[in-house]
Amino acid sequence: MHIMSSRWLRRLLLAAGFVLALSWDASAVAFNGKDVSAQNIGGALSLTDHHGQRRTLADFRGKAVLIFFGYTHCPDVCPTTLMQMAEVVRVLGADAAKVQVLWVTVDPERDTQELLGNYIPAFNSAFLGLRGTDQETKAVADAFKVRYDIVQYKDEILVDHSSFGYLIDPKGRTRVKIDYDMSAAKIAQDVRTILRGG
Amino acid sequence: MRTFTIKLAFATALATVATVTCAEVTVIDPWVRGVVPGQSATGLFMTIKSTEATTLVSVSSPAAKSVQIHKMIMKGDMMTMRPMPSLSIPANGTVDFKPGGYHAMLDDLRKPLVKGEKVSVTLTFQGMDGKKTSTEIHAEVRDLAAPPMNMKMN
Repeated sequence: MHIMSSRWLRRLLLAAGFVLALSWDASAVAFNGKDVSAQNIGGALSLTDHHGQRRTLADFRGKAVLIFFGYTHCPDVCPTTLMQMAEVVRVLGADAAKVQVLWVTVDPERDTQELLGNYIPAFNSAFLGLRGTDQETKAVADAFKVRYDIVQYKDEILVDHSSFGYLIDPKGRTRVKIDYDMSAAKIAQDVRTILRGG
Repeated sequence: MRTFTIKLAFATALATVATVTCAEVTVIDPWVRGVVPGQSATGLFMTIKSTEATTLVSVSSPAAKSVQIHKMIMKGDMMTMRPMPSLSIPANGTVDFKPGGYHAMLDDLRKPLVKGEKVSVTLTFQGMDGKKTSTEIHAEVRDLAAPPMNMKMN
């Protein structure tokens, strides 16, 4: 009797697991990047764009948003990321109108609004550079779990920062973490998944 | 693609001595990322090859008040950049200065560098014998949005 019940229990667990797997399959969307939908990342954002307009994420409702963090003194990762975003937009073709790329400076002291206004459109005229005060920048970084450190090394100021960004859906929810080495094609695919309501 | 070949560190060759050691350093395709007005720093990228072990001890340019050799290091998700006092190039070795690795940081630019310009850069190498040799190269200024050769597009 004891053996029977344990066998039944096992069958029951197996069946439950199967049902769970089915329902999970139905709700989960496959992204190329890491799905962070359940992590409640981001949300709060109040910064000034490179035209001088105050921005919150609510301004971009209805669009997929790609958000990244960097600084213009960065000769390497930051322009590469922005070029990658320009390529994503190119790959998206007509869907590009439903996407907004945002780039938040973590070095607002050196990255003036004027400099961002020259720098960001060099990659794509529709991209927006965002900057805030030190406190606003820190608040946004914290909300997006992004880290940055401004390191003084002899005469140089070096800025360490998180190299990843996020894909935010048209309802303003942060859905996918975009790693630095993710290809433009894969990012574009995730943007399309989001735009299709995924 | 431009290539600069430099003969370095000729050993003192006495008339009676037949052997002469000679390190040949080749700098391939040096380029500088262009900047927009207001931007005061950028990166120099190139490939350095050497037939003998040598060390790049300094980089300078009249275009910038200071030039530092930097290494980009990913620490988990964090992008960090650290100055390197010098950079060893092994015998018959190649060191790539490319996005995602090394670059020479041109800081405090004296004027914005515009695509198509040529920037004069002096590289100083120190051979195993301790002798220093400097050479001038001319790096082409490319677009701010110039992609690295190995950029993943697919």
